[in-house]
Amino acid sequence: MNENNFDNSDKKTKIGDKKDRSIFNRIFLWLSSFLIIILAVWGILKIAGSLSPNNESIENLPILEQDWIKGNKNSRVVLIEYSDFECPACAMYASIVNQIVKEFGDKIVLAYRHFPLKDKHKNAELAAYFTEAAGRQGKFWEMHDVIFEKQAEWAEKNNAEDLFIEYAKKLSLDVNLLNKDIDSEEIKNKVDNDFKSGISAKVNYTPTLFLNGKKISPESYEDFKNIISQAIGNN
Amino acid sequence: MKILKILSAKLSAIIKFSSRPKIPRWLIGILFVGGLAGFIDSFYLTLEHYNGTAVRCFILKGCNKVLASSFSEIMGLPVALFGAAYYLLIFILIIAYIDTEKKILLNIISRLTVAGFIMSSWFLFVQLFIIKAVCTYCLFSAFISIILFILGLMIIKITDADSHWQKLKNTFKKIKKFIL
Repeated sequence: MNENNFDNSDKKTKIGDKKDRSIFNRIFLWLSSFLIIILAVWGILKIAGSLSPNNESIENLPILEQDWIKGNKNSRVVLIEYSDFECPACAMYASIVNQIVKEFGDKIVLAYRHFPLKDKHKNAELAAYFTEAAGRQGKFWEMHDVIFEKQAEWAEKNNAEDLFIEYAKKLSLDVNLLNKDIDSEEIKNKVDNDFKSGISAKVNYTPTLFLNGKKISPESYEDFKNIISQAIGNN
Repeated sequence: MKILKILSAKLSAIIKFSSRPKIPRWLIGILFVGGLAGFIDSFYLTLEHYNGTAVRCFILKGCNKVLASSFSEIMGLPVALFGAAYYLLIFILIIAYIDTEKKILLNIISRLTVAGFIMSSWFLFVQLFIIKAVCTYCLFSAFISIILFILGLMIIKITDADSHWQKLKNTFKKIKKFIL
């Protein structure tokens, strides 16, 4: 495989004489290009494959230090909820999930993670920041409940921020501290990280519930209860 | 790896033998490499879009925000898919040119790169001013698109020295006159 072959054929024919282009060269050109593409595709598939979670288990979706949780944090039955405060289905699920936690108490642990759909819901991210800030004052779940309960009041409104502050006042929160925290890097990063973890877990709609790392779609409250009971039984 | 070395040596020998003196070899080479690089980048993004997994973002922070935004799809298909198809087309066309030396292939390429440049500019605009986050991989694609566009302009200048390039220059002159 050296270039002398080509030089020799140069001398025998006119340079650039297309008709004398050897079939071999043409085949080689196309074949090697095809090979390069195949190699690239294979390589990318490998890289993409190694990053996606295959097995679904608690280990792939564990509770993290910064999660807001309810229930028994040492439980082997882990329920993670990715939710958007401005999404109507999420508001509906919020009360259902709360019921489940009440019913199963110490046997399970629930974590709430933000997944605000910024493009569809204009106040969703702000709501997330407010609940985080309320959480810094020890009232995450209270704020979470109020915001979901009153969703119709503030959804798509321009004065959502004022409404959130009113809710905060009713919860006896320090409004000045709240306003400071809303703008903090820390809270923005927390919401961002929640969102990113959702993307990693293939969340593409809200609410998405994970039970021990596996997506579940309970069709009714009874169904939900059964799924959880089973998980408790198995763990 | 040795196979790759032999492959590229043979390829460059073929290119050397086949390129007409007017079109510089390096121009063909960059089109080859650019098309390939753009394809790899776009294909990776397409895969990850369908997988739903987060991409490994480096240098910049906003990758996932951009890739999960509503702007990342056109008619239900990921933008990256169109990008991959575009770069693959450029790659195939340049191979075909190396093979046959038909000028029309270069003409097609130069038109395509204009379209690619316009699309890349739009997505850059969307990232900077609408989403307000930039994805490293998208930036790389934009970079490749710009290079291909410049090469496309060079091709127009070289191959159509008498007609199209002059027409372009005349259009610019007319615009200048109109403004002044």
